[in-house]
Amino acid sequence: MSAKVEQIVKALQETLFMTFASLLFTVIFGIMIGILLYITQSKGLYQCKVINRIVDLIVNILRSIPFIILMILVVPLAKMLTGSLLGAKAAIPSLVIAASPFYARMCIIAFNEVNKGTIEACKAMGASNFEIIYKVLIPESLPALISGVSLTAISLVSYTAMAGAIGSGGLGNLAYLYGSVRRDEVVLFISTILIVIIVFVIQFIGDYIVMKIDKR
Amino acid sequence: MIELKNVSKIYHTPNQIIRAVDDVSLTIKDHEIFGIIGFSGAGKSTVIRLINQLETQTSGEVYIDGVNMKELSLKQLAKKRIKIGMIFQHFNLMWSKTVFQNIELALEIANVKKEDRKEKVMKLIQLVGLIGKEYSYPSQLSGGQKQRVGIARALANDPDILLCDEATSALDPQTTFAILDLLNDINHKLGITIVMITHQMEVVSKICHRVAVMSEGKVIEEGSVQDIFQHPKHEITKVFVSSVSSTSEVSDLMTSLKKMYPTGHIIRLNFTGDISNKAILANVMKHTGVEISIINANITSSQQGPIGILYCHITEAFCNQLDVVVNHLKQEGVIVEVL
Ligand SMILES: Nc1ncnc2c1ncn2[C@@H]1O[C@H](COP(=O)(O)OP(=O)(O)O)[C@@H](O)[C@H]1O
Ligand SMILES: [Mg+2]
Repeated sequence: MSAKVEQIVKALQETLFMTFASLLFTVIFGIMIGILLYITQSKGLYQCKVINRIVDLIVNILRSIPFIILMILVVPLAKMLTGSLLGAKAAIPSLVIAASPFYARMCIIAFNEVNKGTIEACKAMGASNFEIIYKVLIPESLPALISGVSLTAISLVSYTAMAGAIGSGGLGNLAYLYGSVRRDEVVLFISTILIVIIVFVIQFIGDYIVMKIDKR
Repeated sequence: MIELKNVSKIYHTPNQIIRAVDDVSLTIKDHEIFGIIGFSGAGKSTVIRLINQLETQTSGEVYIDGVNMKELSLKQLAKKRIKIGMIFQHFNLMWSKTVFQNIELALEIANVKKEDRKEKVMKLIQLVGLIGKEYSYPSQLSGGQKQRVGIARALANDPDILLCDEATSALDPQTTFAILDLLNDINHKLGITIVMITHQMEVVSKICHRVAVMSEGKVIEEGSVQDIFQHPKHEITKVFVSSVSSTSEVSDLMTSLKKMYPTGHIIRLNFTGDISNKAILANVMKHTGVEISIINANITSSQQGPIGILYCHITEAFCNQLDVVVNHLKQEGVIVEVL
């Protein structure tokens, strides 16, 4: 019994590690890609059709590859970056590559919802484009950026279950192993409940922060 | 001084070419309140946005204090903009910042040191009458209060010019007058040049010194507010001038007056400035013996004194003396129109 408990605890740690480590990189890359797409779009701060088209295409391609396949494609890169083929760490590059375009899309939607008049007002005050981005665009889109983070985190949780296929461990993998291979319903059940709880907690925290900072 | 020289702005949309501003030349003097009036789509916003180069002209030159705006680098332009405040119809405040922070942002952009900002922001809050609202968010303010924040923010870096794009159009009449009073005050106290865009003649009559009338991208008439009221030349200007009388439904008023007075003549008298104070009508009645009854009256105050529009009726019995009356009134400096 205690061996099973240990396994569950270990799987929980792996899931949390994979989710939050990849979330960190995903948010950083996602915001950067989002800003790049936002400023290069037509009528943007640095309008540039070529860059916009190329980045947009890459984002769309990455978004349309099923995660399970993307993971296999990314294996060589993962090995190069993390020095291993297996384990929770090795799953992070593919998780980040899968989730960043997803979050980047949400960032663009969030940025485009920022009142154009407000941005114009700051331009009229003499703000540089850099100031407009970090003093106006980000704070004014923060609630949407944060609810995007919690949505992305939730998708990452379910991606980590699939990452089990490359031996990353985690709760999803545990549930799969015990549920389908060893027919141990208790472990299956507990792993599933834990995943549901993680998702609920992420959602709750996200909603709470959004509620606190949204002064509209 | 702001000078626009043969400025045009052409927008190319997929299915048409729009001449938003068409060969406009204007000179706006220091310390004056200059109005630009016109219907929606006339090109007013485009003109005001050309002044601080939020839009760049397709052709022509924009000079501010002799500096050709299109020759400035991005950095120089940003620096110049710090000295040109702007306020908007929909205020355009940051909802994520408090009143204090919204105003402070303007100082931050101008690289004012943190220690100096607080005092300056509090001064501005006092100037626009928002004491006690420092830590409120825009969503907790009324429209008039939001515009006061907008004004404080625009004045933060002691600009020489304040651009107002329909600054009172989203406000109720009472709030409009309060904001206009504030702007007038600022113009008097600080000597800031104000460019006022509006589609409301009341706004022009209340605070502007000079006004340009725009239509279809062109300036069709320009002059002192008094001149424009006394001698409106263009049809559109006449519509704006007559709109000051009662509601803007002048034609409605006309039909109803015609119904009430089916016989005789209705004349419209336009008084401006000091002549409003004389007992002109009484004199005319005494001299000609014609009975003139006032059937509708409207007086607006302006920078150059009151502007009055009277609708009068002359009964059929005196019809043959109509010309005499009209001439008499004209000699007194009244603008007369027989309707
Ligand atoms: N960015 C733009 N692209 C295309 N057309 C525009 C743009 N901005 C303004 N216009 C057009 O230019 C004309 C003048 O607009 P505007 O200056 O906003 O008028 P106003 O402020 O007097 O209502 C309108 O016909 C408007 O549709
Ligand atoms: Mg406009």
